Amino acid sequence: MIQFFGVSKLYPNKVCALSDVSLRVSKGEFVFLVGPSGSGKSTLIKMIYHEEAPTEGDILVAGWNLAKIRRRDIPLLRRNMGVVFQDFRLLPDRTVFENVAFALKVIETPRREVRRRTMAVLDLVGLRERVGHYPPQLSGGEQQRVALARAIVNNPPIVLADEPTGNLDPETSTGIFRLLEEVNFRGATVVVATHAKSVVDRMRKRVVAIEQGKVTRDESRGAYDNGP
Amino acid sequence: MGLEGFSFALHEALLSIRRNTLMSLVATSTVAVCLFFLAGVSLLSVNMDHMAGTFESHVHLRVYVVQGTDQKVIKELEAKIDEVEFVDKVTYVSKEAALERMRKQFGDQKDLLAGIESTNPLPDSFEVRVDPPQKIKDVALVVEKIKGVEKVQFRQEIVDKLFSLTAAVRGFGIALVIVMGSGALFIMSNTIRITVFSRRREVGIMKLVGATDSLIRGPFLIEGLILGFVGSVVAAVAIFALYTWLFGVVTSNLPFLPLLTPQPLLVEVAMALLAAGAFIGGAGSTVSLRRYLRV
Repeated sequence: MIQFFGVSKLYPNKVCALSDVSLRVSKGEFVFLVGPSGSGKSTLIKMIYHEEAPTEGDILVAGWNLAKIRRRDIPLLRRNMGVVFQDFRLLPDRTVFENVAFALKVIETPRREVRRRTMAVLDLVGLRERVGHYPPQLSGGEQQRVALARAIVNNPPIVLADEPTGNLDPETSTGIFRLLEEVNFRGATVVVATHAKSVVDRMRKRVVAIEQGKVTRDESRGAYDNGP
Repeated sequence: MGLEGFSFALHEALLSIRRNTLMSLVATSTVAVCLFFLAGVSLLSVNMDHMAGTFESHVHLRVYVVQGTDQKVIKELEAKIDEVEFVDKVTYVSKEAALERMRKQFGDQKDLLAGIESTNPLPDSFEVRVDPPQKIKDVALVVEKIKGVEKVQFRQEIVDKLFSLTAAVRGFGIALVIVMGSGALFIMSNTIRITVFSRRREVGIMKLVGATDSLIRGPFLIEGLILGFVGSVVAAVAIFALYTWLFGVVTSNLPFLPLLTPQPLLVEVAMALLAAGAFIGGAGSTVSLRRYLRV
């Protein structure tokens, strides 16, 4: 589903974010990206949804070679994935319903479909009774669940999350990870960059550790830290 | 963009106008003010051009016929002059008519003519209008050589001055329109850039969830069109009222100034304004968006 072949990224200011990274994520996998801040996790995720292009190497995502993708195909690529960020990125002047429906409307989904699918996904994340609220009226955890609902409302085969619980307390974080696991269970490939050690240790998923732009560890049922 | 896309764009555009009332008001009034001045300058310019044209068309040649030429030859002469290139109209002025005219010009002092009235030394002549008036010298050179013509006269220096003045007036008018027009476009594109900037969050999310560029542009384009159109309607109404009023004032107080009548001029101006407003709004938002659509 996602493949990196010798990918390097050198930012214009000479900062080397990734160097010679090769990685293969199969369909339906759940992968944690761990590592210190600034190690290159975010860059790696940005490359999957083609916010950043590699300076070297090839990336294959959902059948597209991102080194050769045409500008007008980028929107189509992104319809295959939902992305969640640490800062939620909701539209504060729109209700919960409108925020989620927005993602369907901009890809020209028929109106009836929009309503049905939005309500269904809000059910899944447990926010049905909050449809008319505005993001500032919600707690951080609820806002992140709205963001997650927006990311998955289109049923994308890939879900990416960049520090999704960085701003949340541990208990709320658990809820978010449980939802990501649910999404994965329903068939989506999930890649999560995180610092949430306890969650990573408990969930026993594949762990890819990145340090200074290099993959230093890749274990199928790994823990946050190196070692036995 | 399909029907769903269009209805989304329209809905988003109206929503944005309603939510950003102040910004929309600023954009609309900017368009209105710019187009108002642009239209004002254009009207000034076409009127100056019209006045220049009117004054130019008053320039004519005076062609004196050799003394004692008989009427039949004069008729032939008239036909010959009429055939010269660029000659618009030939009017015969007999020596009697010329004397009569002189008498009128002298008015109270017509005693001065007492000595010549019996003999009338004035020659027969033609007044020749030339179109375009700038060709007057060329026509003079040709007519001079026609047999039976005694002398061709026109006020060389007055004609030269008038022509250079009217050329300057026209150039000034065109320059003014260009300056105002580019100023309007600059202010508009900046205003729209601010509108687009205030909605960069929406644009970011649209890109993230896979909206096509044309769908992202849609709402801004429609918003720009609407704001530009409304602004131009305001400008058109204002300029319509102002010009009609000014025309009334000028024609009653300075009747010698040849102003263009409000109809159909103002209708044309209004149409041009509406088109310009929609164009500025649409083009301005498209250009401003281009920066934010970079992937």
